[in-house]
Amino acid sequence: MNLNRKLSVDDLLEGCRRAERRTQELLYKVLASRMLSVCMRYAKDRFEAEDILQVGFVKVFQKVGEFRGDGSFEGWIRRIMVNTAIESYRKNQRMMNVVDIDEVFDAPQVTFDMNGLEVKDLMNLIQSLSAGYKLVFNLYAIEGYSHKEIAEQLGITEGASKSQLSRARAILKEKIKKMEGNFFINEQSTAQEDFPMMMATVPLKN
Amino acid sequence: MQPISDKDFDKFFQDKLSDVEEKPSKAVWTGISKQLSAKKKQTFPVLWMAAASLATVIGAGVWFSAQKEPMYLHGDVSPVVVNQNKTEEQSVEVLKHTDQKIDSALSNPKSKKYISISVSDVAVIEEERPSAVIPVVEKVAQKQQPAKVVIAAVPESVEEPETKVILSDETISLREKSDEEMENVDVKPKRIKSMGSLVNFVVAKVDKRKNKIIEFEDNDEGTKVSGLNLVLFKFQAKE
Repeated sequence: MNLNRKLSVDDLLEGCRRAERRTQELLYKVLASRMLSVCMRYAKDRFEAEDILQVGFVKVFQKVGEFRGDGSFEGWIRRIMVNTAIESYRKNQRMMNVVDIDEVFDAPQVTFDMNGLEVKDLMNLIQSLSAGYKLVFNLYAIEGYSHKEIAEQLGITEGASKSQLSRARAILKEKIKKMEGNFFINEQSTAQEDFPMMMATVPLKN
Repeated sequence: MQPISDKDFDKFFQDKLSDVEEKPSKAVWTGISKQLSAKKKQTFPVLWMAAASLATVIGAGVWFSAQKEPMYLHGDVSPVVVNQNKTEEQSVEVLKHTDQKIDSALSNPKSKKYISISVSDVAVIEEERPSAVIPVVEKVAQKQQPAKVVIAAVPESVEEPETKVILSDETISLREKSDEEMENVDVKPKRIKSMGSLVNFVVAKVDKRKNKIIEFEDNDEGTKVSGLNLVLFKFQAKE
């Protein structure tokens, strides 16, 4: 199944290069649902996610000539979606609260059972993060970017990227703990090791 | 249960979320296809403009190759002299010795002689002695009407002629039958002597191939198409 889809996506590449509208639509139909879920993680809600998806796909069709074939076509499209999400974040940045320290300050290191969490819950958790945390957590934890790459993409320092990631994790854990109704087995305060920069306010640049 | 490590925490999210699918609303594709169509429309006029300019060039080629109007040759002295108005026979006489006179006038700074010539005479001089007389001739030729020219103050040396040309109103005499005569005096500069060479110039700027898309050639009988290169259809006149 997976192999079939990859094959067909690559088959659609040539048609997209010739800007055939039917092939473009086919590609969209094959990948739109997957890509929307990517966009959802970066957006605050479904509407914003669909906006990013639309802008991203227009870019894909316009820039398909630049795709050189190193790596999969789908991976390339996915990166365009992520980059579009980053651009969207930059545009909206001034309207958002970048850092909210109080939220992080008291976060204890807790253990909890995450296995009961549904995909939908996780998506909601990520979406509830403020924009800066959401971006760094998505890029590092899920997309697999390094702190160096994140720093370059967002125009921040590596240290800022690391501290944002730590805070994002702490907030997520705190929220999971609350969702489970204070169900935790063990509380070990390792905060000093895990959050050395907790007090530092390092807002994103720009 | 052990406290979960950051790595495992991240991986948990990654595993759960990286293969999720979420169906977008139909409005998204509608928006995409609208934007793509808008972009396409922008490129459309460019094709039309290319087609239109190609048609213009070819049209011009056909038009000018159809015109077989003969070109007049340069440098023929006698018809000009023969066509002189009889009342000016004296100035024709002067013309025949004009070169000598001008030369002597230029070489003798103290000479106060006035040299009287008519414009059509000057045009002839242009053909024969361009190097020495050009400063005088050009000023007169621009007027393009018969006039008597008086060369007054004489230059200090021949190398740097600072001859002053006085076009006194009294000496300018208009002739009535100037139209016919003007045909005999070809005043067009050489560089734009035909539309064909103009098109050649423009095409050469755009088309860098050896065989241009269209090429004109000037000869005694006029301008005609000497080369066509429409990729599929090529035509080259024999040299």
